[in-house]
Amino acid sequence: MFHPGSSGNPCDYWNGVLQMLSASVRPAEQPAVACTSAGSDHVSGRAAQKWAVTSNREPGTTSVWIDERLGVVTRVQDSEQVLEFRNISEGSQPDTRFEVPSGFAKADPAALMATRNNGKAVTSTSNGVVEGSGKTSEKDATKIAAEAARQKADSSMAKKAKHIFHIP
Amino acid sequence: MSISLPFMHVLTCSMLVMGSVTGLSAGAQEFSGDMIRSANQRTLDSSRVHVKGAMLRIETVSGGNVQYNVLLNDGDRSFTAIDVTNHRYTVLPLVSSATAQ
Repeated sequence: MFHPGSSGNPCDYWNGVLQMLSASVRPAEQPAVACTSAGSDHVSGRAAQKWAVTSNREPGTTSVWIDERLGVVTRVQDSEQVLEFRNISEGSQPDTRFEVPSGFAKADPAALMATRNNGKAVTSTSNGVVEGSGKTSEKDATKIAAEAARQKADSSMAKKAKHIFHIP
Repeated sequence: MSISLPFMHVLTCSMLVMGSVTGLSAGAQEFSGDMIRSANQRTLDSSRVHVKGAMLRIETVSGGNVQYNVLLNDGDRSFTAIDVTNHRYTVLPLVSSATAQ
């Protein structure tokens, strides 16, 4: 669903997916993106096509690079962050790499979510943000503040990415 | 699935490479690389990513003090989170455009 297509304007594909995902939404309220070609470029030494992407849901422009050989997005940059695929190496990947290691026990999702995080029980909220409870030592304050800033940045990037790639 | 911070990384990583998983040439591409997220020239986090046709593996996703590997398989439409620290894993259905409606 995130594949921009092998050629042409990637927003044609993304908007098609978007329409399918938002079929129950009134046409006037359906999100859409617009792509403007920004020419040829390189990402980590690989030829790529650069696009400037805007959304009718939020202001600003996000730059997206699409690898010419693989046809996948290899770089996304907005005003805050950059996500880039580096050191790409094409070649055979062993099947075992995509299997669960032997000896690992299967757990239900709730058990996994109960994993401890810095002494605080990890829980999930409706918007996917992890929250903790319990005591926090002063020496952890800096870490927690940095983590909070990172979470905010993560949220912003994920939101931006969702708009671009139409994650429901 | 809501391991928020690391999951956001998984989400964005997945979005970049899912084209090869769900795209037109699914099954034809095999590659690997490093997914780096940065701000102000400072690396925020990174993961090793492997793609084989309809399968995607994202390694070393930090979730607090726990390390996760993630497997996405568009063939059986599954999402597997592997808790490397505690040697356990969980499998969830992979929601897609075909199932989100």
